[in-house]
Amino acid sequence: MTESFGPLSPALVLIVAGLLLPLVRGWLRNALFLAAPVAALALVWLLPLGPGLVVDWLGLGLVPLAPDQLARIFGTAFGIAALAGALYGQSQENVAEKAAALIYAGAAQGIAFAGDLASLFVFWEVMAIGSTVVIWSNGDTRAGLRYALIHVLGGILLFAGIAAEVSASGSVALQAVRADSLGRWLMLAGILVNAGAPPLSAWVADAYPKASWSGTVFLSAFTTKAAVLVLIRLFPGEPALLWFGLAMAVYGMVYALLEDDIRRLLSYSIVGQVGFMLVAVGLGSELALAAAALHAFAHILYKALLMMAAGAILKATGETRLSALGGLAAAMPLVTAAMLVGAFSLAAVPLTAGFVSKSAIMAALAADHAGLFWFALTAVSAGSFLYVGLRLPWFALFRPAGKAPEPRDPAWSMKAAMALLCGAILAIGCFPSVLVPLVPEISGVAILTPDHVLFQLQLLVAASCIFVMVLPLLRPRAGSTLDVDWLWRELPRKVLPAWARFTRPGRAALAVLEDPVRARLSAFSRRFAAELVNAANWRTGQIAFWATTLIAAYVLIAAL
Amino acid sequence: MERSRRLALMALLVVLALLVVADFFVEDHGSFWIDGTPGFAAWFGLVGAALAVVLAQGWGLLLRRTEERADD
Repeated sequence: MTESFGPLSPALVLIVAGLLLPLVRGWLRNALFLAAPVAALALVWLLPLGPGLVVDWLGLGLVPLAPDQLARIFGTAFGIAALAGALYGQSQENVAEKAAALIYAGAAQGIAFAGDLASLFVFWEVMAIGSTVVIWSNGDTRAGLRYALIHVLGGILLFAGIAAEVSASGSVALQAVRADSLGRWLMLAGILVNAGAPPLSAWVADAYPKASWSGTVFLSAFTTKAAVLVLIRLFPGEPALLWFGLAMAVYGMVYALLEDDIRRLLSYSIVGQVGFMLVAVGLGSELALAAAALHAFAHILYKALLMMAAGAILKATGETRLSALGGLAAAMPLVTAAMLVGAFSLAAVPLTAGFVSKSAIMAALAADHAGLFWFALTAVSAGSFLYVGLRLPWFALFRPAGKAPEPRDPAWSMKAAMALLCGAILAIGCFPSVLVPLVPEISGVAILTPDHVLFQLQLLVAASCIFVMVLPLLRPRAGSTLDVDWLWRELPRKVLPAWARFTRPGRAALAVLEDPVRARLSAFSRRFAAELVNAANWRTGQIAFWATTLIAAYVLIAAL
Repeated sequence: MERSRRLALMALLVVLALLVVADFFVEDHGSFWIDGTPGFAAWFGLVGAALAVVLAQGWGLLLRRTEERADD
């Protein structure tokens, strides 16, 4: 098909389906919602690898569809996430969320397959719009607005960086660079905003839990991982990423250990896991970049699964706070299994996908003798098991609760989606070699070898000992942890009243002057409006004079 | 410490000890010498997890509040 009609972009399929979705009704809408991701995933694999078609637009050689190996890895992960998310969200009634989710997924595919900076930027912005609508459609406009503003800032930084890069190099080609000029730093900063890097990490945990039970599944998959992909393409081996990544890994772990709300905890852990990927990108070796891509792949699967389990709990109980939950395991066995598989994969328990990808990252760190990062990330791995593999399941599912919740079975589509992702995670974990065709660089990594498995089991059991020892300390408490976003969410509320009190005398003095000034201004504008109304009667010479003056001013400014 | 927690801790420590013993019988491929020594992951996991708890508790003491965000 692709030969006879020319290459068809998976991005286009999803975006067009998203735009059409509100126009169709009933079973057809749900069918389209599911069929579009299936078609996109098929296209990811049908497109032959190659440089892609160059489209000339305003003198820029655009390559909107450049299928390479990296595009295929991320395209597959984005495709599976969109497919599983669409299956999970079949019973979601909100058509705005469903349409936006498809457009959002399409934009992520567009970023994966973009072969130039301009196409990349277009899809980057479509992604920001799609994700904002997914959040907005659940009704929290303030959180949606905060999310949109952060992404507008990221978009402006990226645009300024791309503009500087294009004017310096004269081409829109995607090429690996170092952050060695202001323009490139701007570009890096714009991408890091989307990756959830400090100091602007707080938006992830602020925005994602505000979406609906099904919307968060989509949100967890695309934005941050698309940023990782673009970092692999543009900034492989950039040393600053090592430190950004380590800071994110520690930040994600600390905030997740303190958090009470399941979906916010999982959002903090997105930042932590993307930190692992950034360290690998910063390392820059062939194995490290492949490991970063593979970890993104695994993370998309297990984080979507965890968000599905959290969404199922929210839908069944109307609650996601650990402090208010407990004892759900008996009532929701499938959700319990899904949460455990997802959590164990995040904590890199052997026989899960997370173990494969984390092993690849650690092997890359060891091969480059990056001792500091190796030991630090190993310790963070032990901490990660504490919050996701022990604290989350214990307090939400297993601890004896005061009153057992009503057993409410999730819809068949939700169960099917969770089963699909569980199967994928365990299959990759049990047979890591299935990934070798996709990521050939990992073929030499020791994964299911006895010493490596034993190493990981010791680490996890040791963390479990600490968990049981300090259990009362880790008890979830309602509340919030302060973050950098305090600067724009709370500081203005405190400062503005004080500022108003401080400036009151000055404003009173100004008010005395205000009335005469306002009177003159309105008289002037009345006169000016009257003159404009009579503009038809202006003399030709007068018009020519003013036109010449304007052109002269314009030419002068242009010449400067 | 209540009885069930103490039992769980004992069981986990026994499992950990068995894993460390097993570690003496496999060939370790350490990358930085010390990580290849038998039982390294056991003590490093204990220290790492304990540090994570200390770090989180300290951060929580400084910045954790009992009320939700005003605009949430």
